[in-house]
Amino acid sequence: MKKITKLLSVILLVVLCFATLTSCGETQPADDGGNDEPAPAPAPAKPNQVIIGTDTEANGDWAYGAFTSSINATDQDVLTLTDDMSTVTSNFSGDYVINDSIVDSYERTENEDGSVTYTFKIKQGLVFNNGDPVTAQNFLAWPLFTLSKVGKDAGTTSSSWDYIPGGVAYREGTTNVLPGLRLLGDYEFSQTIMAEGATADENGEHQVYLPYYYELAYAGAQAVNLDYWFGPGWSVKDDGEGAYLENADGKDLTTVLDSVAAAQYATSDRVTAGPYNLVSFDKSANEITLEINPNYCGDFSGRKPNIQKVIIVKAEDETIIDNLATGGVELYSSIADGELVNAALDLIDAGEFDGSYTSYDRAGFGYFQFACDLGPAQFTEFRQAVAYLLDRNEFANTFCQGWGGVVHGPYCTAFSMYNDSKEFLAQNLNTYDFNPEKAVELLKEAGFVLNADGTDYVDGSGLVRYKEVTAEQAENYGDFCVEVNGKTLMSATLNWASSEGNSVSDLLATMLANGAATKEAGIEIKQSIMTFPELLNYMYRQDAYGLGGDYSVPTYNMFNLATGFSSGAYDFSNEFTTKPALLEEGYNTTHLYDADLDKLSMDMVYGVEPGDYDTYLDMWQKFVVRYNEMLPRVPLYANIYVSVYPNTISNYVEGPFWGFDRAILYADFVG
Amino acid sequence: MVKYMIKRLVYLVIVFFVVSLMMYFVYNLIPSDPALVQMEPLRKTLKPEEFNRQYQELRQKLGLNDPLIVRYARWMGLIKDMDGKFSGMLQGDFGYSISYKRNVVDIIKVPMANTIILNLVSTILTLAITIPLGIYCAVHARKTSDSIIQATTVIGYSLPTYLIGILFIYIFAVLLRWFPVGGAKTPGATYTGMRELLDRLYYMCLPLIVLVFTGLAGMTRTVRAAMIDTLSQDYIRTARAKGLKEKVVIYSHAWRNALLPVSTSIMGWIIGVFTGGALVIENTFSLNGTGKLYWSGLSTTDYELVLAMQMFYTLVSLIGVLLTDVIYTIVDPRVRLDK
Repeated sequence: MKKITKLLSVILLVVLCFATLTSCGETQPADDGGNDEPAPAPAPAKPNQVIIGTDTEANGDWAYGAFTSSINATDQDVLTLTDDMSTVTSNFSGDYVINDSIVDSYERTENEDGSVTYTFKIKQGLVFNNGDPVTAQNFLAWPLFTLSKVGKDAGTTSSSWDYIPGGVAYREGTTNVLPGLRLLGDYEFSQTIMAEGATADENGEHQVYLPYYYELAYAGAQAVNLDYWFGPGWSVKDDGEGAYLENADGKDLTTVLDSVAAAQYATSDRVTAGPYNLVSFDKSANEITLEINPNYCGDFSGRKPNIQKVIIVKAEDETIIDNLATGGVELYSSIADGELVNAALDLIDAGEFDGSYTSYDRAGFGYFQFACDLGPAQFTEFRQAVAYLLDRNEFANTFCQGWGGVVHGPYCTAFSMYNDSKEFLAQNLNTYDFNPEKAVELLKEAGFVLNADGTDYVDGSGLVRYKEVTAEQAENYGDFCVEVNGKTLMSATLNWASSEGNSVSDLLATMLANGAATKEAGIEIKQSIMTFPELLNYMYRQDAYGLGGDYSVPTYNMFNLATGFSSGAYDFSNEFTTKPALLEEGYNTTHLYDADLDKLSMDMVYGVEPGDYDTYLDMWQKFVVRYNEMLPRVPLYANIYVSVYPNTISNYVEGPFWGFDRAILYADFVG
Repeated sequence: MVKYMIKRLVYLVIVFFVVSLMMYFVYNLIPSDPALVQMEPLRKTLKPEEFNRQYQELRQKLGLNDPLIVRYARWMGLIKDMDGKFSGMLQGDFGYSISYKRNVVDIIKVPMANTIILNLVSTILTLAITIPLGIYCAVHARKTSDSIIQATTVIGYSLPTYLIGILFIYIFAVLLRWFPVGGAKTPGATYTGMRELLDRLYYMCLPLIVLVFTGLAGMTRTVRAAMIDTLSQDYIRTARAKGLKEKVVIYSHAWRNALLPVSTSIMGWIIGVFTGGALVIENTFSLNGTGKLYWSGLSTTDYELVLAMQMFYTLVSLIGVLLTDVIYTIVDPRVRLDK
C-alpha cells in the first residue's frame, strides 16, 4: 500500500508541478510575441482583444462561396471580417445598400430591351491590406473567373451567367469576352442585368429576372486582388466589346487554378480589404486570429474597428458556461437554447462572468408543415383544426425556456414590413389560440363526422374521426382509408415524418400528437422518426439514387422543420408554384396549389419595381394574410437569441441580420 | 515465420477488400442523396432551372447515376473515375468530402495527428499506471488496499466518459483553475519552441487525465486477473520454496508468464482507443480529432469521409491483430507461428 501511495503521490506531484509550470501562460497577455519572461507588473493591462466562441468549426475556405452550395458559418464570419470591398452590402436591418465608402457614384440605366445597367464609379485611393491599389479591374476579376468555362469546370456555383448578357457563350468557353461586364476606366465599370434569362426550360419559358424588388442584390461586386488570386501578370481589359481577363505572358486561364486553390485555403496573409486581416488559422487548435487592417476604408457608414485583435475559437454548448466563467471564451453569440441562456445570465448575475448581454428576435421560426394534397391535410378546415389543438404559446415558452415567442405567419419580427404592419396584422391574422372546441367545429365543417364503420361520430368518444371522400381525394392514402358500403372513408390521421434527435419533435409529440385535446377531438397523428436526409427525400418526393424506398410516392403529410432569413430580402417566389416541372424538381413542398398565394408570392418580388415599397408592402400583407388562412405551415416558435460579451468592450449590439462579425466593428474596447 | 506472415498478409488483403465492399454498400444503401443534401442550401438562392441543372451536374460529377458496384470499383480505384483517371483508395485517393469540399486526405491529416498524439500519450500513461497497479492488486489480492483500488478504478470504468469529462472540467478547470476548460492552446498566443510545446501540453492535460482515468479499471483488472492466475501456479510455489526473494518471484517468474494474456488485451485495447475511444473526449474538450471528424461525417452524410476513416480503422485493426500474433511469439517462446 505504501508503494501505491508513493506512486500516486509522485503522479500527483508531477501533474501539479506541470500545471504550475505551464499555467503561467494563462496570465500572460496572449499577444506577447512569444516572450518567455513573466510580466513584471502585478496587474497587467487587459489586452485589446476579444476571444469569441463559435459552435461551428471553420473549414478555412475563403473563396466567397464560389465553389460551395453553402458557406460554413464561421468561414462566412471571417469573410465578413476580412473582406468588405463590395459595391453593395447590407445594413443592420438586412436591407441591401450601396457601400458609400467605396462607391463614389453610381447610375442605374433602364435599357430598351428591358435590361438594366448599373454603372459604378469607385473612389480613388482605396487599397488592399498589402497596400495594392483597388481599381475597377478588381471588381470585375472575380465574376470573370467564376463565370468562365474554366471556373465552371472547376466547380463554381454562380448562376449569374444566365442574366448577364453574353454569359452563356462565356460560360461555354466560345468567347473569352463578357459583354455584360464593362471596364469603363480605371475607376469605373458597369454590369448589365437582363430582364429574362438566356436559357429556356423544357417548355421554352425563360426565367424572369426583372423587375425584381431586390434588384440591387444583382448589382453587387466584390473586389479581389488579381495578383493574389490569379498569380502575376493578370489584368482585366476591355476593347469596347466587354471585359475579359488577360495575362501579360499569354498564359491560359486554366493556369490560375493552382493559385486560386492556394488563396482559397490560405491560413495566413490573405490579401483582402476588410476591417481585419487574417493573421492565422490554426486548424489543429481550431483557432482563427484576426488583427485590425490599418488600410481599411471603413464600412458603408464609414465605421472602422478599434478592437485590435479578434480570436475565434471552437466552443461547445456543453462547456461554454465553464469557458465563460474561466475566460476561455469572452463572447458567445446567438445562444438559442433557453436553458443555456438562463445559465449564461445567471453567470453574469453571480459576477462569475464580467460581462453583459444583448438579445434580439431570431430571423426565422420553427414550424410544422403539411403536404396539402395528401389525406386529411388537403382540407383547409382540417389544417386549421390541427392548429387550434396546439397551445403554441405554451409550446414556445416550454421549448425556448422563456426566450422565444410565436409568430402567426411567414415572417420575423425584425422585418420592416412586419413593423410597418403591426396593426394590420393584429386585425387580420388568425392567431389560432388553443381552442379544442373550435377545432371540433372545423373538423365537422370539413366533413369528419363519421366513425370507421360509417355511423355518426359522437363528440368526446375518443375515437378517430372519418370522412367520406372521393377516390381522387383518397389517392395515395389507402392505408388510412376504409371501404364501407361502397363508400370510401378517410380517417383524420396525419402521417408525420420527424427527424431523429430533434427536441422540437419530442415536444410536439407530447403536446400535439399525444395530447389529450388531439385525441378528444378525434384526430390521430402517427409519428415516424427518420434521418433528416430521408425526411427531405419524403418532403421533396425525390427518389434518392433510385435505390430502395419510393420517395416519389406521397407518403407523409406532416413534417417539422425550421427556416431562417439570411437577409432582409423576403423572397417566397416559386414556394407555391403549380408548374409541373417545378413540382417535379421539389418546389412547393407543402403542395398547396392555391392560385392566389402563388400569384402573390411571385408578384411581390417580380411584379414590383425596386424602391416601390408601398406596393410591395400591400402585396406582402395580402400574402401573409392568405398564408395565415390557408395554413400550409403552422409556426411553432421564434427564438430570442442572446449573446454575451465581456465588459472590456462596450456598444456591442447584435441584431437578426447583424451577427458578431458586423457588431464587433461598432464595439469599443474599454479595457 | 515468413511463410506464415505472407499467408496472413494475403488474408489481410482479402479481408480488407471484403470489408470495404460491405462498408461501401452499407453506407450507400442508406436512403440519402448527397447531391441533394449538398445543393439544398442553394434552393432559395438559385432559380429553379439553374438549381436543377446544378443538381443534375453534381449527381453526374459524384457518379451517383451509376450502379453501386461501378461506384465501388471507382472509389476503390479499380476502374477509371469521372475524369478518366484511376484515382481511388488503391492510388491513395481517399475520396472527396462533400461537406468540407476538399479531398479527404487533406482534411484528415491534422485531426489524425491530434488523435494519435493524444491517444499515444494516454496509452503510455495508462499502461505505466495500470501494470504496476494490477500487479500490486494481485499480490495483495482481497486485502483492503486491493479493494480500495478496485473500487476507485471502477468508477472511471462504469461512469460515462462524457460525465467524467464534465465532472473533471468542473473540479479541475472551474473550481481549482488548474487547467483550461477546453481547446488546444492559449487563445491568441504566439508562443514558439519549448513554450509552445508546454502550452499545448498544458491544454492536453485534462483530456489526458480523463482518458487515463477512464482506462484504469479495465487494464488494471486484466493484469490483476492474469497475475493472480499465474501466482497460483505450481512453479511459483516452487520458486518460493527455493527461497527466492518475493520481488524476483513476482517480476521475474510471475509477470513474464502473466504477460501473455495481457499482451493480447493491451493490443485490443490500444486498437479500441485509436479507432473511436477519443470521440467523446474530443467533443467535450473541443479538440480537433478523428473521432469528432467521424461523427461530423456521419451527421452530414459525408460518406466518402466516413468510409475513408472506417477503412483506416479496419486497416489498423487488421494490422493490430497481426501484430498481436507476432507479439505472442515473442513473449511466449512455446508459440510458433509456422507450426
